[in-house]
Amino acid sequence: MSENVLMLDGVCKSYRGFELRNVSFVLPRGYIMGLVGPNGAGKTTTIRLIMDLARPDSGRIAVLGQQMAANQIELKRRIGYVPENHEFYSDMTVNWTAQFVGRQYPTWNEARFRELLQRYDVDPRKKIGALSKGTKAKLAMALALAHHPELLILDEPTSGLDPVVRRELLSDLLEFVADGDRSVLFSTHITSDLERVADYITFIVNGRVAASDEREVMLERARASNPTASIEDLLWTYAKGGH
Amino acid sequence: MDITVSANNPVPLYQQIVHQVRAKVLTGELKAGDPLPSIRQLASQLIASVITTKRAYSELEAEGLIVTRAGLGTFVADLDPETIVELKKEVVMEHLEEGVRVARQLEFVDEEINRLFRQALDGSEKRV
Amino acid sequence: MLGLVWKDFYINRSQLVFPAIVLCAIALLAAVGRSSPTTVDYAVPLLFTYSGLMVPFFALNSAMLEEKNRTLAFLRSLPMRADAIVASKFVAPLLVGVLWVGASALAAIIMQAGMGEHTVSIMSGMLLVCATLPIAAIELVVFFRFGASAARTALIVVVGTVYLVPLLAQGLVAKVKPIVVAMMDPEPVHVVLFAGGSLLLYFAGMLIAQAIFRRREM
Repeated sequence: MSENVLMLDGVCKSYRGFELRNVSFVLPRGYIMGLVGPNGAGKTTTIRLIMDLARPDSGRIAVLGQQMAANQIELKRRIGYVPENHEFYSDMTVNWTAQFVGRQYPTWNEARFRELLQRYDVDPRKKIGALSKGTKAKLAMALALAHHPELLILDEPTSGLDPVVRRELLSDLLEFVADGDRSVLFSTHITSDLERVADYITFIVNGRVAASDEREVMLERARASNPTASIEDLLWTYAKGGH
Repeated sequence: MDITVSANNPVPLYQQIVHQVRAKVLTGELKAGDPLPSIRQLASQLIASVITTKRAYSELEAEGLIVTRAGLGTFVADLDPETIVELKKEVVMEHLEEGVRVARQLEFVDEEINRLFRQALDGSEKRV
Repeated sequence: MLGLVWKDFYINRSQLVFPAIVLCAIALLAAVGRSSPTTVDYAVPLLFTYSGLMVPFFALNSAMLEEKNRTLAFLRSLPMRADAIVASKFVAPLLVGVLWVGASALAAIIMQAGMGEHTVSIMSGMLLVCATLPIAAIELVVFFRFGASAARTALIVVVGTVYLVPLLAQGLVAKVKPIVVAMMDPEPVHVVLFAGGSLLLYFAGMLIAQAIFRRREM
């Protein structure tokens, strides 16, 4: 069992009009890390780089202790990935989609998937195109959880979900890491989700890592000067260029 | 274990856990030897991060209120009655000292603080 | 990869329905003994037209649906090789072509049996399908590099070129005529060579598309 499920070291990626510079952080096994930042800060880019959907210009990325490019299939089997805009075949049903996805993962647990669908209140006979945005998000989550991955990577999983479902999802994340062997990385700009659930937080502002540490440590440091400091306050500080 | 935490509370989450567990131990709701949920179980139950519950348990253990037995789990510590009284005193003192600190900040002198304290004591008797 | 091919078949099944109906109608009419020279006069060009359309249009529809659903990124995030995704996009239309050749050959045989004479060359249908393979390959390579709209444009341009070139180059017309005649009733050796060449070009296109897609960022 590797100690760090995610390791980014000096990752740089430049696009026209946007640049990710020197992104470094580490996620130890068994914990939840929140990737926080304003819209356009580079959270999705970072996640796409981790998932090998884009390649860094420089720097190293190790996922589950290995290089994604070399062991793509094996690693992806152990990762549950929910992108911000999960796109499925809109004319196909939930059942068909589940069957298609399930076949790709040797660890797929059909019973678990059905249980999640029921809990998330998703009608398996419906066509993807007929699902609401929130329901599609829940389906994407169910598909990611059903094959018992070691690492969950979620890009804005709670945006667009009502508070009840958000709570449910966060509760599921905690349940997910309960055995100590599984880890979660999720990016969000909804800081309240992180206030209670994140063990570690990495702040990304303007393509750079402003800070990356244990949530408790960062909050304590901030509360030395402002007793009611929250993650949102910290984000505000970093976004304004402070530290 | 019946505990709730709120992220809206200015008190840090881990401290909310410490306070509530401590209160339960001191009032006898949790007796010596009672098992506590594991760090991760508690995290899952409260929808709080693992490091938070870990920290709470560390502090409770440092205060001598709980013990972790390798392989068996976490349990309420065996506290003799004197220690419990001492701990209760500590809790009260914490609150009283906070009251003194605020009073001094508001520039009250010691006699006035004393009088305010007697007032509070009498006041709460009347309410009971 | 086969799972992906099956997925492509299922998602693009509408492309297969109408040609299948036409084939069944032709075969049915022939079997019922209604085949006549006039029927054949309609059936043959129809079969021919479909032969020329099946592969490139199935490939195009498959590409367009993939793009409309924005599912290429979804496929890339699954634990499968990028090469397999590309391969399925090439194999599915090829399979459609093979099935069409087989089915239309069957229909032709039934028609011939009803007519009692050699009415249409099965070989020429196969030749036409093979001729469309490189066109589909170009289309798919463009899709993987530039997207479905560009692929559609590429198809229009290539088909237009194939038709226009002999028209514009008058000198070529004389040379083209014997080729067309040969195509109507080709010798098996030529067919095999032609098929082999087309398949080679088709799979070369697949390799190029795979190289392109591997490098592409989603």
